[in-house]
Amino acid sequence: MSASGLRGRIETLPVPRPNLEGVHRLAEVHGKAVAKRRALGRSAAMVFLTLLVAGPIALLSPLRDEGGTEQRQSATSLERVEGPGMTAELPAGWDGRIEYIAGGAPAFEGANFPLTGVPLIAHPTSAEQTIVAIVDWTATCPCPGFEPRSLPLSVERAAFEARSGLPDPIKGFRTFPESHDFVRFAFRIEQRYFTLLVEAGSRPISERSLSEVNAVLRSWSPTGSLQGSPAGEIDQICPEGGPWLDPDCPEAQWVLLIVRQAGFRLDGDTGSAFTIQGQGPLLNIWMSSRLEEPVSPSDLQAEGYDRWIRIQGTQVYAGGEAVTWISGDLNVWVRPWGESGRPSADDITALVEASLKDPFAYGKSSSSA
Amino acid sequence: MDGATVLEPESEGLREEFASLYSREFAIVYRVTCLVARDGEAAEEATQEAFARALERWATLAGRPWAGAWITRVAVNEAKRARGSRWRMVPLDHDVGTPEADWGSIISLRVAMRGLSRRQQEAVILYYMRDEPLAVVARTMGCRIGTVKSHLSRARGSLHEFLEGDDER
Repeated sequence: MSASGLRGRIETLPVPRPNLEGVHRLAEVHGKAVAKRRALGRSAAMVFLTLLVAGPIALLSPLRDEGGTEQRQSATSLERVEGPGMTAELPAGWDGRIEYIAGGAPAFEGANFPLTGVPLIAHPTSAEQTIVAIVDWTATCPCPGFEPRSLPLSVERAAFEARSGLPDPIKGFRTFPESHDFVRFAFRIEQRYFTLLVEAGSRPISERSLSEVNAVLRSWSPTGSLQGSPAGEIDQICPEGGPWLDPDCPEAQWVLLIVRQAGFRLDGDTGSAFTIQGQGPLLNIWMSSRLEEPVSPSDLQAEGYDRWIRIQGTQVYAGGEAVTWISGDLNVWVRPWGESGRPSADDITALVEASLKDPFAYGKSSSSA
Repeated sequence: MDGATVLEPESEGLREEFASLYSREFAIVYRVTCLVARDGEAAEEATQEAFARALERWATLAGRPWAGAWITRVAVNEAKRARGSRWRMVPLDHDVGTPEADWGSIISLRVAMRGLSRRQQEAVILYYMRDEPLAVVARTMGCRIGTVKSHLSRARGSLHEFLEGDDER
């Protein structure tokens, strides 16, 4: 490689000081957070949704339609946050993000303090701190008990007085300090299902914090289709296949869907594949676009893949540790993560069957999403 | 991965091996991540995040010829993800190292890279910037060698002014 080439050019770029201790600290935080999610993740979410069904509808009433009568903050003081299925604006001094939580639900968080670590873990630690979180449960629903609402959103001061103790889907039955004001409830916008949490480090919430919270809520809106697909516009956003994990890509969302439908647990990702677990050891799963990269049986044979098993008429090929099959416009690939040997036939059968229920096709949103 | 997968103190050999890889790979991972991140701070965060994920999985990544490529890809994806979900401009004022950075060339390269498809970017980063063999690039990208070549071929059209001295091996 010549120094005048690409690598030579970037080698002039200054580099910050390496921080190996910081890497160890990050890894420890990851380990603790994932262990917590494993313990409380999916089952807690189902308990949460079940309780919502039985919960008093009064708990769902604090959300009201504003009709656009209140003034928004000036555009110059707002910062837009965009992510999978949602968008919002943040007042000056607020941090925000939209990321997937365990189980694959997109979550928006906005706070007037820095947000670090995994989503939905942060909470106010001083009187002036406030956090807003909205989770999109559409992929898990339809669910009863979510009150229909329209945009823009806002909350009234009276809503905080209910102090409703619905369980947090990540942390179980989360309790709030007596000194904190909070409100949480479930709502629906057409066929999209959300929960909202606002927590303030003071009680009652200050006028300024309430004003900022409502500025955020008024600016918040779901993106994509409101008919049940968290990101119906993604075909336009990610037209060329995209990376395996890009939350804006329909391919990645489809893989998450079949993983859920097959009853697998989402363990995380490797940066180039989702890490999942069914009955056997951890697996990596990703996809490639057949429009971009049509893989024929002869291509596979040339690379050492053989016909392995046939499931509902679909041929599954195996080459060494990797397994692949076609579902609609995608090739799905599965490989063991950190294990030797081929994934089990039971695990592959579950994934193939789930993938065939709603094969991925460019130009249409998944009907099951 | 649960907490138990983070290296324990008794895994001294693995710990040293990871430290060695970190020392060897940090600069190149950071530099290529800079090309797609919104700023230097985001590139640093994504780089640290990628190494942390590698550390969590080090018992299985250690000794793999594609470990560096894997970390690079995680960092690049993480930087792109952060770029899409949080926008803020942070000046690049905390860096140390070569003071004679060719910023004009780097910015031009950054603009040219953004004109590539995501798959082309990945192929260019792994092949031309990391100097990885085609087999490792294909393995890391989850596709065939022929597909990598196809991405590189298309990318070369957009990057020809930067590719002096770089030939497809």
